[in-house]
Amino acid sequence: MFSDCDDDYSFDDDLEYGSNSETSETPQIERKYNIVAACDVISEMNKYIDRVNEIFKIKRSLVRRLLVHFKWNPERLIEKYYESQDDCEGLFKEAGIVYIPESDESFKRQISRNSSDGTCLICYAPNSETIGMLCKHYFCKSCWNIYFTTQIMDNGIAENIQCMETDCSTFVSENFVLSTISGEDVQTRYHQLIAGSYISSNLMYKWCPRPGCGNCAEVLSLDVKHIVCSCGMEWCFGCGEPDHLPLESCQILKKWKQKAIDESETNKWLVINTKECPKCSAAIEKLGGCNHMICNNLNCSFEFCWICLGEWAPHGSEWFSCNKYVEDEEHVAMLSKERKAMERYHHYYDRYWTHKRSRELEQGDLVMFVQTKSQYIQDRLNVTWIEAQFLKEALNVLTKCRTMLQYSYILAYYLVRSPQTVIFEENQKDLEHNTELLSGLLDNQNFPRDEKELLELKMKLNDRAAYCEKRRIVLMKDVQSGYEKGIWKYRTVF
Amino acid sequence: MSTPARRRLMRDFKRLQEDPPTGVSAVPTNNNIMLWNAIIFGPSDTPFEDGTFRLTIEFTEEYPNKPPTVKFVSKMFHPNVYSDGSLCLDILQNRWSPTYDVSAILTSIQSLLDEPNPNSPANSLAAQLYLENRREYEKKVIAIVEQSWVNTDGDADEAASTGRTTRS
Repeated sequence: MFSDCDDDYSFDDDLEYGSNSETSETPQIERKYNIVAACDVISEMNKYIDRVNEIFKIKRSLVRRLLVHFKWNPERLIEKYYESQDDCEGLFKEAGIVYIPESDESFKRQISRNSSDGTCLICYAPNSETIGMLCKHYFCKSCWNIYFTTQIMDNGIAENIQCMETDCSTFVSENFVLSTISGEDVQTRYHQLIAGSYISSNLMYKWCPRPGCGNCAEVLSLDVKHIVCSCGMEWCFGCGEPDHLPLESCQILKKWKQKAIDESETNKWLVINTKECPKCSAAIEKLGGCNHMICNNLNCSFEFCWICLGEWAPHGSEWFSCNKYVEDEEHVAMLSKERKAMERYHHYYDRYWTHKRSRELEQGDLVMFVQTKSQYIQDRLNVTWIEAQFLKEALNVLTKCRTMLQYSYILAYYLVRSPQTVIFEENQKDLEHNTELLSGLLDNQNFPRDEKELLELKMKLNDRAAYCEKRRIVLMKDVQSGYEKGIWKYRTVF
Repeated sequence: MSTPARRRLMRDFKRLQEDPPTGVSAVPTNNNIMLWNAIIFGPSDTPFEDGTFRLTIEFTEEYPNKPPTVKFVSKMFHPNVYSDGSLCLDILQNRWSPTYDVSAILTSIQSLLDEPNPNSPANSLAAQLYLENRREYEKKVIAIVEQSWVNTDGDADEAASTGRTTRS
């Protein structure tokens, strides 16, 4: 049930990179985590609950509710439990549980044949045996079943299903649901939803971000970030995004993404076509008229000169021209600084975006193309499937390099220049150059016609891919050691 | 054909006749128990007083597990009623419980008339007037009360279709 991640990792590498000895030198990031399959999450959760329950010795479902309430932090729960001493009821009430201390069977279903007038008030089916919880609202089993099924399958609710009765807020226990619902798919979905709340409320767990994967990672310490899922997905535990090495900081990534939104078309238009009021910073577009500007912001109404953005008063009657323009070098310098900052941002953004886009395209069209090519050489040149895998392996290297390049530009944007960043940029340049060559080789429309050409292609691709992977690892190692030595400083002013 | 939904609807009808709630009334249409016509009388001491508002209630075979679709046929001016007559009411959506029946739905809508929730408006003009200009709001309500008296003759289906055309 646990896949040993070390094994996974080396297997992954072998798959992607054949027998090349370089792979063992992939930077050894701490990998203290487990990959848990969806179906095993429940038993993991139950084990965890049982450990906590050694103190309480009550029903598992009750402990789960308590743990959900305390965000799966057993220390806080136990602390509260000892604090509350005899007032367990208060603790349970806080967590939304109806609990009767005398009997642990607090959610025992009570069967009654004659609750109101003997029939279920929902379906009015004759001779129905009605069941209910402590809140004493009895309905027939079939109605409960339909109700639970709707809640689980249509509404995606599992943890907080309430009693069917109008305005009754009693939560339905797990046992009641499980003993009532029929249909394997409903049961499975119920378990999934319950596990979902365990995962989402437990800081040590996160779902693999790959759609449809269903695995999750359990870290043993929150410092662990780089996760390699058994589905092959590499992702960051810190932010749940796909792996963004060499950029280590999730905050910087977030900042970058926010910046990308801020620098949208609207903002670009504003930067090009408007100036800010020097006092209140409102964006002003000049549609005509003279250079004597009065800010439209009624709270501001600052009067200024459009050309030099200085206060209007000293301009006196010279509204037709501003001779201050030449003099005010400081201001001109400031303006051009802003423009430079924007240019600098676009320089990095364009490269970031190009690699991102290339990777997306390569994952779509190029994958298809490589498959066709692989099939072609298998069919025409009598090559076995395993021998044709060199194409796919090269493609995997390409994807890895693209990802690394993509994020390396974010890092580059935020780094303060230093001798080390020059080395970093050289590494980046080399990797970029070779990645493009690899991409070109893979994308080559010429199909090998004979064995000689195939051999040539294979050699070329393998060499280039090996070189790229080498450069990728060099870049990664360089950045990693920079983090360890504390060399990288982030810019605060742009 | 008897299905759980139909059996339940027959019960709802029986209950409505045996224990009629004040100010509301509902009957299944002639040939379809899954489609009902209903009337809500505007609650007294409110601007809606004396209004006779027609509605249709459309059930699915999933009733009572899923709520029916309720729509005003008469023109309505209310913060929580859309221009097509459909309602924004929690018990008809996420707070639905299978224990609600026709009588409970109609009484809930009746009390909604005078206790709107302007914070989640379906009709923004009504919500704005309700909050900022109560007098104008009441004037508009009284106008639709008067309109509700038109089209009272003829059978309900006909009223429903005329209601629709006059509104658009």
